[in-house]
Amino acid sequence: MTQYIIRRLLLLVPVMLIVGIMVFTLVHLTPGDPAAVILGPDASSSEVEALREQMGFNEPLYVQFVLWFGDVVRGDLGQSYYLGEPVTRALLNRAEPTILLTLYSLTLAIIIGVPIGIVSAVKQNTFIDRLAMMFAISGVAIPNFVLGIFLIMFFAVMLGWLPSGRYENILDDPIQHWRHMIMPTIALGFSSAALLARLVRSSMLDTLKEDYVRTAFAKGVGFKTVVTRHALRNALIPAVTVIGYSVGTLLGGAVVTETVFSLPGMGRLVVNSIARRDYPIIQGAVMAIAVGYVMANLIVDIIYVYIDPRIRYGD
Amino acid sequence: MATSERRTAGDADSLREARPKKGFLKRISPQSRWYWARQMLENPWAVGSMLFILLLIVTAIIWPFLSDNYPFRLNPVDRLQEPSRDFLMGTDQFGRDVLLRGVFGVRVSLSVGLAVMALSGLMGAMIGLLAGYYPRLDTPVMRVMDGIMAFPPILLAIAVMASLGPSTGNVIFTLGLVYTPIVSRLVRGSTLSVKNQLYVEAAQSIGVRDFGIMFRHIFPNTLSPLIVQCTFIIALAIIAESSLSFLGAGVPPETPTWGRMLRDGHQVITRAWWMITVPGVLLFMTVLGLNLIGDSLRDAIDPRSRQR
Repeated sequence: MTQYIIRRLLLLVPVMLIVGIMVFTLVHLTPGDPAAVILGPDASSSEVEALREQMGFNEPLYVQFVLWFGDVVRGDLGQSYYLGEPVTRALLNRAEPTILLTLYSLTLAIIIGVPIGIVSAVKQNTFIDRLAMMFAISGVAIPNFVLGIFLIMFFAVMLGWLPSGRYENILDDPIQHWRHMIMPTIALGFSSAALLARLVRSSMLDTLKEDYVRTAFAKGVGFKTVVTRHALRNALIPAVTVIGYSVGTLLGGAVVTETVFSLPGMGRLVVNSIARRDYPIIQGAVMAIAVGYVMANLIVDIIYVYIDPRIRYGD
Repeated sequence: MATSERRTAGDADSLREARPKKGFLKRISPQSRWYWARQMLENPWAVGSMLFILLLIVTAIIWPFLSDNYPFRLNPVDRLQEPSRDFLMGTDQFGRDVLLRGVFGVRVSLSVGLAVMALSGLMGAMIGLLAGYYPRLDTPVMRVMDGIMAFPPILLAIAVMASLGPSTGNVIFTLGLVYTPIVSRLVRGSTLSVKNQLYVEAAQSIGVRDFGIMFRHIFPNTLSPLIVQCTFIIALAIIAESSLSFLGAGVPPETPTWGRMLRDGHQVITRAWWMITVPGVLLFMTVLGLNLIGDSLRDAIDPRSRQR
């Protein structure tokens, strides 16, 4: 097991290198001279040239890449053009809403998606099943920001039940914090819940047809026990993969959802940075979120080994 | 397993035969190569979805000829009008007809969706075929694909769009890039499973060149899952395009598009419910329709999935 984790951690190196090369390429897709962007339109050409020299833009590309990647590995993502602070600090200051929103939505997706999937598989082709699948099909079709806007319109503007447009720190006032996070969580988690429900249903239907389930029934094991202990455990294995994949969708979706609900997270910072042409922030955030996503998938792969004893990676 | 499948499929058919049906569809037998089309046309959800999308497209094309109302015309006097007989779904901050702009939004959404599908389908199929066929290419190429997939799709799209600047062409290029790995993984998988079939070996032994084998003998066998995946990519690309436009990083601001309309509506959400309802509902219905078409296409092509 330890060996497996070490091997997986080593495999992260090439993936991170490729991610790094892609983010670095993005820097150089940027039209115009970054030094000119930093100094603004009033700078003289000698000032721009001096800054280019100082920031190393005159070095060959591969030298620039090695220097930049070395900094990234040490946690230095450069300096924001607009905020005047290091990108790493700017991102860390805004990480809380993004991480919490992603975690809440993931929890919501699991709490809603898995039971719905189980029930509709057990009651296949009944009214409940049809209803659940209608939820699933429409859930996948509604983009998170559209759902978010409609939630604001109904529950904040028309009914006035829930607050919107502000963020409370979880430590300052947990109750207010959760009241503010209800709508963003639903908006972001809904489509993942729907996807998970569909997947759990179809994988439950497959396992319910397996010989060992029939054997369990034949032995006289109770219905509930067969469903929860024999079928569900095996049906959840593909679901875990989708949960890992969902983390990426949710992290990406958080960027959009934060903008809808004006949450001061990393995503909103990224979106605001587009108009400010603050490229180091965008690239830093993309790098950070990609690392988070890769890590989440690593954790999912390790959980896999625990829930599925058939998988013994390379032992 | 195989026999029971055939039996369920047969039962379903005999049930269907028993019902009175219009003659044309019934003439397509289960052995026909067009049987999938019959199955799709017999699925009311798929037919309804196709009709809805067709209706949107036709309206977007012929409306300008029927009405002097124009989606780009600014009309400050009629700013933020509620729905009325003159403006069926009200007007926006600039006095433009919201319903008309909403119907026009289908142009951008569908053309971006189709172009992204074509681009990622083409690139993904090429990459997948090459990686699946030449073992030497497999690892390096697929690692690069894994690298692209290490980014949440919408985030990668935002980053590329921020660098390239807002334009419809850039949206298509960016989303095409983002969805290429999905297609290439799929095609690589089917290529690997088809590559060792006897007929491929036979083609190799009579000296067919590699490209001939790839495109004449392997590619057609990867097509059916690819076509299904492509329908879903149109839907994904439409959502992604509207998200980008909503964030202000998509198509240029003056183009009528659902994401942009939702962005404008979001700013006056307390005063103009119609401004978000029209693009929101149209976007939802279009994506839903494409997903339903994709589902029914998959059921028609791959009978195994129908039981689910």
